[in-house]
Amino acid sequence: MKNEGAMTKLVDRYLYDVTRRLPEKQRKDIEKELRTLIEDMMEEREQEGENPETIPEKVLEELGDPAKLAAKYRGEGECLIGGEYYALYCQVLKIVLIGVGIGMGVSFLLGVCFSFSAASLNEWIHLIINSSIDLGAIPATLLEVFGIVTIVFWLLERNQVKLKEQGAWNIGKLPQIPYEKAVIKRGDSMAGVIFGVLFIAFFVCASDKLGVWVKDAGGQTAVVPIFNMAFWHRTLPLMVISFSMGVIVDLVKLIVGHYNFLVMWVNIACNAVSMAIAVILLKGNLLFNPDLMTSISAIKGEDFFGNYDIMRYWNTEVFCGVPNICLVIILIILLAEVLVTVYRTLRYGLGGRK
Amino acid sequence: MDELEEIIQSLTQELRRGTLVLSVLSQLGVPQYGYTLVKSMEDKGIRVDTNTLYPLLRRLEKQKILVSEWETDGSKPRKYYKRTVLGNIVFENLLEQWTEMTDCMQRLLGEDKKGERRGGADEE
Repeated sequence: MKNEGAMTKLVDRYLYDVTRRLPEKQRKDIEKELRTLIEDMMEEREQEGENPETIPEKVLEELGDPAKLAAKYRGEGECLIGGEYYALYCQVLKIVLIGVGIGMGVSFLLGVCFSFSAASLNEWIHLIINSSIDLGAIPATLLEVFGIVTIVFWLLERNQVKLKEQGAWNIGKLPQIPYEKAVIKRGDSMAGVIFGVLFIAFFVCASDKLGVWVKDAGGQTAVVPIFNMAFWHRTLPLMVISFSMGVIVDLVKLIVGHYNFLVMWVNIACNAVSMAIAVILLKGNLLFNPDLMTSISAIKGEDFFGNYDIMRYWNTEVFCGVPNICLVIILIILLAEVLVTVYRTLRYGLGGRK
Repeated sequence: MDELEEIIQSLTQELRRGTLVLSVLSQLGVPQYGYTLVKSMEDKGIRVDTNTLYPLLRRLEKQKILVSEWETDGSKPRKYYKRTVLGNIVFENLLEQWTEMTDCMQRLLGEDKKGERRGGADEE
């Protein structure tokens, strides 16, 4: 054996490559054991009269990839996300990716639509170019989301986190097959969540665009806010809370998937909050911009509204009823939703298929 | 055809994997080190990959089914494994299960053979 030094070196390198992937405490012991094994295997081949030059190589190849050997010592499963979590992982990934994708797509479209009032051809081109950057960000964001979800589940897998303390399964744990009319359509809840989030984003980010867009004589565009901006700091949080309530209800519906007591009580509680907020906002008479019409007239010139145009009476006695009518409509809608939920829950949601 | 071979191979491997612990435990009533174990099992027609056996021995030791001891008298240090008292109990139980299972399998597979014969007779 002219090359003994090189051979031991090869074995050393192999052993190093295995043990560096193992917990420190076990390294020495495993290395010692494997070294003896390798020497035994080499001796055997020598006795069989193999070419001594190639023996170490062949022995190490027989033992195989150091990473795999080390993984066997660690006793790990060879997958990133194992069977226990995989179904849930796929489900979460699907909901999150679709939600984020649709959300970004719609907000892009809204962005385009809301800027079109100022569009000369030049501005349009500008807008599309600028937005295409936003559009390009969608795949990147989706990848990011994918990565985050995967990392979370990988951590769960690594630490063997029990997702639910399930205890022993028994026959009583079988779910009832929900009555057909108690099933809540996923699409409806999903749309509710997405539009709720979009509305919130819109109110928070683009409140200055909420109003009547008018051009003055010089062709300049101005926005006359429809809401009373002096009290916006008070209006905005209340609106956000109100929309959030709707999002929460839809999220619960999405997760549960059918009418039951949880859905019912969440719906009652959230809609009650929304109703209270509607009363506060609309009864306080601080919601709408009192100067809406005077501002528009100032920009457009005095005769913008005809004598008989009903908008002339904005902020006069006649129009005082508007907030009240809005309030009544909102309350009726919210109440109707609660009544439908309660009815469906009590009628169909509690028992199994009848 | 390659695909078929692959399927058969992976299923065979799976079948063999289930018998691994029992075959290893059966040999370790007396102390042995890893490599002699591989060789003695090979002589009896049971092929075990070395890179599977060594980690397995360690896992069984961690579960207190085996106990190990370093033997440093010889030319090389060798780690000898043998069954513990707990290991004996586990082995006895597995053996019982195995016997029962093979009996049942025999019956099951024998039944199939009979059916096949009958099927063959019908065709004639």
